[in-house]
Amino acid sequence: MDGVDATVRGSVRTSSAAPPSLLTIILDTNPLSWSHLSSSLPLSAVLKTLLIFVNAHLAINHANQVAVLASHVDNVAWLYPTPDDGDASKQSSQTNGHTEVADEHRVVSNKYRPFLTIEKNISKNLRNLLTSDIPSAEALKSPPLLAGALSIALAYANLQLLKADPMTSDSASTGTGAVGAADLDAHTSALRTARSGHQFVSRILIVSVSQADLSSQYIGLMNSVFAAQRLNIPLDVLRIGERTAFLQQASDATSGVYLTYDPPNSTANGTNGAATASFSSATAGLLQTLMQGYFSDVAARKLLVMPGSAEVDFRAACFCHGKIVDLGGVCSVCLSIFCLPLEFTSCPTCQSPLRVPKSVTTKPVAFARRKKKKRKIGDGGRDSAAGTPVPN
Amino acid sequence: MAPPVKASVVYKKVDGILSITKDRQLVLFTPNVPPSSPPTLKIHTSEIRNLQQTPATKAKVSVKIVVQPPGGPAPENYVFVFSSTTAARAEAEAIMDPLKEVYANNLKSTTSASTPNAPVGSSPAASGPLAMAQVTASKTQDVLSDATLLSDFSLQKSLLDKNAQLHQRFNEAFKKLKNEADAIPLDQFSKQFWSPRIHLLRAHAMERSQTQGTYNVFSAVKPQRNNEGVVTLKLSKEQIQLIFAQHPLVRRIYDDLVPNRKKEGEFWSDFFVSRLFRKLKGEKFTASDVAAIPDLDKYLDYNEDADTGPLFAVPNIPRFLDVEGNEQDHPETYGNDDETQRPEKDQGLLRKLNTMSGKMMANVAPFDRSNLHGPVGMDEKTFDELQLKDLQGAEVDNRISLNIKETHGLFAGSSARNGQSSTVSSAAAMSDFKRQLLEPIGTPLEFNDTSKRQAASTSKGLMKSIKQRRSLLSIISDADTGLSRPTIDSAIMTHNTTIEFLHYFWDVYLSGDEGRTGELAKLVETLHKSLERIEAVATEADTELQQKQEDQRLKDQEFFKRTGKRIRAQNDASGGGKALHDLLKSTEMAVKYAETQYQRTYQEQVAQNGAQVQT
Ligand SMILES: [Zn+2]
Ligand SMILES: [Zn+2]
Repeated sequence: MDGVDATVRGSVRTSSAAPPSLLTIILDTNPLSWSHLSSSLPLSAVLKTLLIFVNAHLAINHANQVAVLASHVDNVAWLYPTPDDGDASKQSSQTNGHTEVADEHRVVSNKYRPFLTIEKNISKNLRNLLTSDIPSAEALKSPPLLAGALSIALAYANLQLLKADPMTSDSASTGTGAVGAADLDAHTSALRTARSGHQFVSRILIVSVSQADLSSQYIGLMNSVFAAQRLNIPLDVLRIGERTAFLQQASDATSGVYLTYDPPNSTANGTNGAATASFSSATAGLLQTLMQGYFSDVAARKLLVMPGSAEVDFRAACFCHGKIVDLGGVCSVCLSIFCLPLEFTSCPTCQSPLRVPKSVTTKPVAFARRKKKKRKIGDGGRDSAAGTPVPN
Repeated sequence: MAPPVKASVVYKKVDGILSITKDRQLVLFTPNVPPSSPPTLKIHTSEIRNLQQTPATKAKVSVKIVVQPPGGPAPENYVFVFSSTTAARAEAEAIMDPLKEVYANNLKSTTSASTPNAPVGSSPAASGPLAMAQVTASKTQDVLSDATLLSDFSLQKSLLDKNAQLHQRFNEAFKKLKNEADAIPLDQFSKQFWSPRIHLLRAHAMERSQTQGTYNVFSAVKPQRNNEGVVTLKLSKEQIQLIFAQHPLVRRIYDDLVPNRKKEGEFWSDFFVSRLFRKLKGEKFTASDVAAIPDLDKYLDYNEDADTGPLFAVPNIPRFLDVEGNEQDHPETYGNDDETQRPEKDQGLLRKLNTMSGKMMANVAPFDRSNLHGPVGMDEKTFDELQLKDLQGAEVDNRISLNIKETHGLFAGSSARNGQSSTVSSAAAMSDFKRQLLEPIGTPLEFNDTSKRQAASTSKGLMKSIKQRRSLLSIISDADTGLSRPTIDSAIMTHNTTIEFLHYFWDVYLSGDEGRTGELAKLVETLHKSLERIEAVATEADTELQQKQEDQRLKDQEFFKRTGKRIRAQNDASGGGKALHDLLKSTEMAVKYAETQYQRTYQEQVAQNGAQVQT
């Protein structure tokens, strides 16, 4: 392991206590995608693995917090903490706290209660997903609501950040009434603490399985990425299946970890029980990836080299044709990308007028044509035959 | 700015003072009787249409000012007779000189503007500082234009002197270009060098135009005790001037005492240890702390600020800022302990520093303020912002809404949606999903040997990527490349200049300017030479590698002679030209790309042109 340490020894934090850390997990729960994965890595196995990961996060620091969101077909659902719960905020703010658990839970006497609470909450809320209306076939095929889930996760992280710093939360609640300004102040100050003192750190892990085109959520996603950047919240992405360029870029932009995990194909196609056992290989790999790749929080990451592909695919697809472009135009208002030459005078996404800088539209000239005037005089041939004139 | 000009005059048989305001906006006539009466006549200098003065030969000095008020029917004449018995002529000059200047400016602006009656400033109410600010603003804009910046060699030189890294880059690029057979002329090079860096020039120009203001001089003057215990005091001429300017009282005392009662040096050495000094500085002291100096101590009770008047003549202080108001209304609210909330009571440091800041700011021409007499920085908007709003409701959201159209339809085919799809029906998928969900998640995971192997191989993959990233994070070191430090340095330098030339190339190439094709051709040549330069460094690296291997061989031989044993040949083939090319791979690619682009365009345009000639 000694090859991994990128520490500058001088920069080790002086305060002895590690800052509390919030881990927000966004789980893509598109039924179609999970059904597709059922033969190699079923959702139940992933959930079990995530629970171990979450428990480890809670166990390493008693002040650590966890939030889990499901980015479902046509809605974003809280898995933990359960929002309808009267004291949901209480539950979350003292994650490891000692909220009373219903009688039935007491049966499992050998489980640490906070672990149990999370497990039960997630299990219950996941089942609620099924009781809601069965989505249409068309809806199932639509991309997951990642932008929405990210916005909720960021808002939640921001709230926790403010709660963790009474000074800024105070100014935010009793502010001068100008909501925007107070918010900004809080942000700035939170940012300051995040950079200097590390009062409270936060990260978001997106577990993505859908092979989906996120372009319809582009603006929301971009805004989320900027917000995450500003709040110093890395967006970690664990991609199960093929890579997606956009999520990789989002993760790179926020100094998050982007990893793809390809579950080894299970050979057994037997009964349920047999299958569960054979998934253990895929699950073990997943657990290893989670623990080794995503376990460190922002404070720890300062001292570590994080895993991930060395090369990020920064290319973008144009909005007009979906083509990958090397050189394109970007709307300065909504950040939509277009290929060149531009086919419109105003942005098709936001209707802002587009003006292309001269350097893009001017045709490069490598060879000076003869002046028309000269041709009239009749001595042009000589000039052009000489090729490119060289000034002395 | 000029000091206010004053002269004793007779106007319409009334004795009085003729004066020009500091900002040269107004000419005022103030009668002597009754004392401290307000000016009875105000002439806007912007409305002056003519100025006449008695010739220098005549004994009686008088001045005629012809004024055309905006919208007024006819010009009005004002005649002032200078009444000073000793210096009438001089006072008349003092009045006339600034007026002549203003008048000349008026002429200029009226000839340029179509409306002859337009005042100099944007509005009649615009006071001097604002008008001046506008003038400087427009000047600054000129100064900061691209063209000016690009041609300001002294500015460029000053920036290069300041920024060593930039200077080095400039020199490298310049040297390379100068060595070419037919060098690009200096002015062309300088333009190419600076045009992508115009923002640096602009920032530097802004920086240079900033000047330092005055400072609290008392805090800078400190008596120093040397090794022998002798206290010395260093006081510069500028500091004395500042003290006089900031503390008129000191000037008065100085006038009173020097040289009749004290010598210059004596005065200052006394002053800096006096109670008066402590008081002016705002320090607290007791009589026992500081020795008495009767000559100076008698001024102790003198209120320094009394004769300067309130710094900012505000007709009414906003209630919520009015500390005095607190005193009158609810002294108990603020308690008796908080000196900062008590007017006049606090003669301590805070108040002194405030006064000091006020004085210093008063001498700075404000840039952002139209009302000279308003409190500092207090316009309507600021006032609104300062108002207490704790009981108000939330402000209306003033965000600009962005109307987003679904771009989805724009795509040629929305095939790339949820990929893994068609084979499974949604109903089947839902039931599959349901089955997966209903499985209990609380049960422990069980791992066998296969899963442990899987975990290990996953871990190995992660470690590999970590190591790969680490190598990207670390700077190029000789160990990694096998190249020597000097070779790496010259590689870096070659890279820098090449990138520099690439900048020039694209700048000219994309300008689409036919007149610059010659320049462009030369840049392409230069770029091509960059490749040769890289090659040269690579050759150097090869030689170096051979030398290294030769050294190693000799060493081995010697070892063999000495010990009779052979060391296992260390096949150290790292380094050399290959390593260097690896290092500069992307640089070379960029050059080749530029070249290809140029060649293609060139061929195309030659062909086109040829076709045109034939038609
Ligand atoms: Zn396109
Ligand atoms: Zn737009």
